[in-house]
Amino acid sequence: MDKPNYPFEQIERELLFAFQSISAEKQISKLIAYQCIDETRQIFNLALVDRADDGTVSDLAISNNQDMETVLATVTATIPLFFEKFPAGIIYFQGSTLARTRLYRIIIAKYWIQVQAVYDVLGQLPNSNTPEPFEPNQAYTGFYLRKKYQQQPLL
Amino acid sequence: MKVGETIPQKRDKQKIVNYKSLDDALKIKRETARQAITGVLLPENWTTKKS
Repeated sequence: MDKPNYPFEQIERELLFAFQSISAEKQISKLIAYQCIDETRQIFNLALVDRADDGTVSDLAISNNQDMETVLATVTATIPLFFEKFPAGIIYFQGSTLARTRLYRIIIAKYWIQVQAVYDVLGQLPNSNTPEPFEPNQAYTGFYLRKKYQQQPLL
Repeated sequence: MKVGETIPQKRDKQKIVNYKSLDDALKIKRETARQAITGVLLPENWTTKKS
């Protein structure tokens, strides 16, 4: 079509999930985001943030809602949905603080048998540009996760 | 602390605000993550397209 057109931009690929963290004291709106940060390698950043009623957002809030494992289980439950949409995708995640990154490492280690059955995990060490296969006691600054390649059974 | 001085209340961490909006948060988090992975070399078999 030989007509002038308006300039446009590609919207960054994102996958969003929302849920409520609920305790007897309060209810907190949380949002899980998978954000494409490397189109070539199909790497997506996994982010978890709190949303306040006034529209402000925090990834530093300590909610003390006594449901940390439930919150992380909810995040974990979205991972298969991510891979349904992006089967060749790679998830990158890091904590918003060093303590949270350490917490994520501890959680991965705690459920390592289940994790490694389904996913490959790399850990990023400080001052290194080559992530290594996940080891439980390393002080990683971030993690890469991909779905294990499922070979088709031979007939 | 002086006698009679009010003991500071434990800070309500839930009130910490570090992004003015969701769009702002997602934009900054995306850029932070981008910087973190820039120059990172993943194993070759991680970036090879699966058939």
